[in-house]
Amino acid sequence: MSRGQRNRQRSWQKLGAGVAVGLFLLLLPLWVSSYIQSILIFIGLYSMVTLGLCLLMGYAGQISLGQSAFFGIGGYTTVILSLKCGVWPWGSLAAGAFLTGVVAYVLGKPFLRLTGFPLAVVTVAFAMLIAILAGRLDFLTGGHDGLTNFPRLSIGTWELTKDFHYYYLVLAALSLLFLFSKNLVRSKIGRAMRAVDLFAGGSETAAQSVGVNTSEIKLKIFVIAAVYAAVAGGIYANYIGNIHPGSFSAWWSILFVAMIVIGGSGNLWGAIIGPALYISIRESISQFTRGGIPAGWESVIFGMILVTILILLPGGIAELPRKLGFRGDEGGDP
Amino acid sequence: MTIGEQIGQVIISGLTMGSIYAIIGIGLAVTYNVTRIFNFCQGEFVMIGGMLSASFYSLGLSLPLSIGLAIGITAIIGAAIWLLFLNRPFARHSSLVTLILITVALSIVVSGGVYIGWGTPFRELPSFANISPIRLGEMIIDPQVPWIWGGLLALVVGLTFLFDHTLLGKGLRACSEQPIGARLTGINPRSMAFFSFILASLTGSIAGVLVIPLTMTSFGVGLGYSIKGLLAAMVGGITKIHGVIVGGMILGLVESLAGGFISSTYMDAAGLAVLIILLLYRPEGILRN
Repeated sequence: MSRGQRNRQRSWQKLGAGVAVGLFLLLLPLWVSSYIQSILIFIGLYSMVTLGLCLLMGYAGQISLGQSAFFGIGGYTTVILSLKCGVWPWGSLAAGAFLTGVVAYVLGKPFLRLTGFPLAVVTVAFAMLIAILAGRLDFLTGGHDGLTNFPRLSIGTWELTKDFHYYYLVLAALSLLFLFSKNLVRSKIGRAMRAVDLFAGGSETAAQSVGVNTSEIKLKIFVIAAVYAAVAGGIYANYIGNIHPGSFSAWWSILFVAMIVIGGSGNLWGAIIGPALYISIRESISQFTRGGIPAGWESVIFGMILVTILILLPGGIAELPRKLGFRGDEGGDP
Repeated sequence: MTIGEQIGQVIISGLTMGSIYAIIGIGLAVTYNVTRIFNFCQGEFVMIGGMLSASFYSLGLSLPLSIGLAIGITAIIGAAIWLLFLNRPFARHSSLVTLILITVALSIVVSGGVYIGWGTPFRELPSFANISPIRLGEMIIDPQVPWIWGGLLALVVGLTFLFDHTLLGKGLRACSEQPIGARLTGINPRSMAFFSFILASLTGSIAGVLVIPLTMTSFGVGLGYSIKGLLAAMVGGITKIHGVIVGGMILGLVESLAGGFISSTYMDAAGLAVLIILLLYRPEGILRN
């Protein structure tokens, strides 16, 4: 078989696989319980956040421990607009994403003048600051108890309340974001990102010397990641039915980074593997803790898995196929 | 209270929390300077120091013994973390980011472990001096305050002695300033890294033990201390101890001023916000080197 024929055959195979997986995902709610659906919803929501983080860390090479803050700003904005200003819930969701994007733009400019660890410190401090403010600005955010009883997402008069409603919503949103990200990575912007990516041997000076506007690229990806997190936060708030500061403490920022590290930041699929693994572990352990074993174990076990992966597989699980010898999108002959 | 006394009260409490942040920051700075690793476990060392001392004390041990055991055990934990996780052959090949993330992961494990062992309730310890609060005019000073200041002073004196007059200390300095030169003269960077981690856990637990009579502690406070300690160290300038102390004092004073003159609800937020701004303004630290 010629190389052209082999490539065409591979493309058909990929398409076929994609259609099969797609059908499977679409029909899933018919076969699984509400509980499983809710697990998948959480995986989907966290994946949106980590997808943005993957673009930022894996492709543009910047560390941000601030995603939880944007998750929260998006969520709170959505809820506050729906609850206190009577805005149509979908509009609140969009407004939440937009507002978070603006905040990320305004803050991103000074933040991104730092790199590496100082950037991490500033973003994590920012995440902590937002979580604290959410708990203290009672008049706006309902304080520690948060907000509840707000108008939720609906299509026409049909309110989205069931798990499978949100399953499809999250599936759709995640797919859209994923496709957008894939396109981004393949585009000129994507190449510019990789030129700046310190993790992959890029170099800002080198990129600048060939005319890549590095600060602009970094800022764009930072804002994109924030918007992804905000959308996830808004949907999350609508799904849970309330929002309170505990849902997005600085710990979550760290967990999101941990998820992307486990999943692998070099590959967009890592953004889904990470949360999937985290939630699987969490749920498996909570099955056991119903027997009375104290709940700290999920942290301990998750932390140990994280350490193990960092030691053995610094590139995350997504790196595993490459390490084992499978050739991916590189094209060309084995 | 006159306005003078109000300001005095605020400044005193600011310098007190500032001392705590400074002590935590010193531990972070030493580890960073010697190993280039930012140790996210630092806050957990603070928390463990506090928790252990509270537990020992509630078991009936005397105060000095509880404190001593707490500090000692935390030092052992710090040593164990280094030996088990950061000293492996792989560590030489891993990027710094990976090593930092390992300390993050370990802080998750540690706080989870403490939660398993101790649960959620806050723990406390009485002030070291069993006397009633000190009064200066209308100002009230918690009797723990002189201990905290004294602790910082003792630490600084001790570290200065260590760095200037002992071989170990000079080895640590050599590693931070000239890693290659240090190895050429026979100093083993891995041993130095090991000692810096022990120093970090010592300073962390000392801070924890000093602060617990003032603020109580629980399994989740570690992250906050790590972040604040990092901010304080970086704002002041992480390469010099006096920079870290200045950074810590700034954080303590801002929190205290916000608490005294705005509202205690916004103390932490104000401190974080101001320090973020300072760090953005001058990422290398505000003290000119």
